[in-house]
Amino acid sequence: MTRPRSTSHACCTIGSIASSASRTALGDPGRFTISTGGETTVHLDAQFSYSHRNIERALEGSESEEAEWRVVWPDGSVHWLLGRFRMLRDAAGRPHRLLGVNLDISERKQSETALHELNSQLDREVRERTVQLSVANRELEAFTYSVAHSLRAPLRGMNGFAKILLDEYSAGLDQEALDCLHRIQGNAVVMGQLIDGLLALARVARGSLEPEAVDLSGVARAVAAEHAAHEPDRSVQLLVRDGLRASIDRTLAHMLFDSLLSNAWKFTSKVADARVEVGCTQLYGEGVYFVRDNGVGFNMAYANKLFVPFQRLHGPREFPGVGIGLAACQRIVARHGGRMWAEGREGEGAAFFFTLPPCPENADETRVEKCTP
Amino acid sequence: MKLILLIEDNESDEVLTVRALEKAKVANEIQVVRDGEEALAYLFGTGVHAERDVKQLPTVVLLDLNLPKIGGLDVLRRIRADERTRRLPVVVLTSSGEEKDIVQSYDLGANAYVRKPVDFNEFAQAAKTLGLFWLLVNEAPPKRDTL
Repeated sequence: MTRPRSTSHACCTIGSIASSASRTALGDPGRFTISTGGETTVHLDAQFSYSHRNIERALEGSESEEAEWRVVWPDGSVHWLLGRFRMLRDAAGRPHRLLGVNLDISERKQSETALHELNSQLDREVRERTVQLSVANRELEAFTYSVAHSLRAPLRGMNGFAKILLDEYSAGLDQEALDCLHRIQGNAVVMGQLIDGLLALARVARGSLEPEAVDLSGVARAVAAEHAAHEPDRSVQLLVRDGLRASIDRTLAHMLFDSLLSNAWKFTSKVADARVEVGCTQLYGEGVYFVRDNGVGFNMAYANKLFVPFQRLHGPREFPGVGIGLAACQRIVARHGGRMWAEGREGEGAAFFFTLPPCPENADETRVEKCTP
Repeated sequence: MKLILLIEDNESDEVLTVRALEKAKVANEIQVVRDGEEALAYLFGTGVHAERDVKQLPTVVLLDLNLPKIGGLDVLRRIRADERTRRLPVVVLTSSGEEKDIVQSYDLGANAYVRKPVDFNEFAQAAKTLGLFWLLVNEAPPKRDTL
C-alpha cells in the first residue's frame, strides 16, 4: 500500500476539492486554500484539526472518518467545523485522494458549550445544596438529641415533686391548692407528649428510607386489630379493601396507618354505628388510597390546618391528642414522593387521601383499574 | 450487702430516683455519683474514691447517658473493657428514647435500657420494678475472688 507522503499533503488535497459549501464554511470562498507551502488564509488549529490517526485509519481502509476542528476566519471569528471524509482509491486499490465535506457546526457547538456550562453550574449548585443539607441534617440531629435528653428531665421534676406534695402533704392543703398541683402535674405530662410528638416528627423527616413492596391491606388490618384490642368496648365496623399494595418503607407504612386509623377510631367514638373504610379510588388516572370514617368530621374551611404540627380542630377535652399525627402522615407520604389531602363535613365524617409509588412488579399493570371500586 | 450505684447529674432526677428506690425497699444503700469521671473513680478506686475497696462492687449500676465530663456511653465502654467490672450489671436509665442511644447502649454491653417517663407514677413504678428485678430476682455474676 502506498501512503501519501505526508498528512499535510492529504490536507492539501481536501482543500483543493472542497465544495463551495465547504469553502463558505471556511469563511472566504474566493480565496480559500489550505496549502503546505503557500499563502494560508485559514488558520487550522493544530489541536482540533484532523489527527494523524484519522488519516491513518482512512489509509488502513476505514469506511469513513469524522473529526471536529476549529478555524479562524479572516475576520478573526472562530468557527467549528465537522469534517467527514473517506479515502478514494484507484483501480489497484491504492489510496488516491481524500474526499470529504466540512460543515459549519458553530451553533451546535455553542449550544453544547452553553449546555456544558449549565450542567457544571447545576453540578456546583447540587454540591452546594448537598453540603447545606447535610449541615442542616447535623443541626437537626443535634437539636433532637438535646430535646430527647434534656427537655424531659425538668418536666419529670415538676410532675414528680407535685406528686410528692399530693401524696404526702395533701392533708394540709385545701381543695384549690390540690387542684393547682393536679394542674401542674397534668401540664407536665402534656408537655412530655408534645416533646414526644416533636421527636416522632423529626424521626419521620430524618430516618433512612427503605421502600419495599408492602401489603397495605395487611398493615391496615393489623393496625386496626391493635386498636380494636386496645378498646374492646368499642364496636367499629371496619372495611379494608383487599390487595392494596405500594412501594413504601415498612416502618413508615405502619406509622401512617397507625395515625390514620387511630384518628378514625378517636373521631368516631361519639357516633353509634362507627364505620371505618380503607380503600382506593381513581382520580385523574391516578390510584389514590384513602382512609374514611363517619365520625365528627371537620369544616373544610380549616382543612389546611389539619396537617400543621400542633394544630388541632378539637379541644383536648373533646378528643385527646397533641396534633402531630397528620403532620407526620403528610411527611411520610411526601418522603415517598406522594401527596396527601383531606375532605370532610362536620358531623358526617372525614376522608384522608394519599398517593404512593406503586410496587415495581405491578407498575405496568393496571393497578388503578384494580383500585376502582 | 446490696448496693445500687446511681450515676445521675440531674438533681431532681436523683431525688426522685432515690425516693422511688427507697419506697420499693430493695436496696441497703444507694451510692450517687454525679458525673462520668466520678463514676469511674468510684468503680476503680481512684481520685476522690482512692480509699474505697474496689472488690465491693455494686449489685447494679443505674447509668444516665447525658453526663458531664465523661458521657454515659464512655463510662459503659470503660466498665466493659476492665476485667474487674466487665460482668457488672449496668442498666441505662435515661430520658432519651432515641433508637441510636438504645442501639449503642446494647452494642456496648448494657444489660437493660429503661427510659425515664415524665409521669412520676410511671417513673416510680419503673424504678421499683428495676430494683426488684436486679436486686432480688436476677442472679448476680460471681465475685472475682471466687473465679
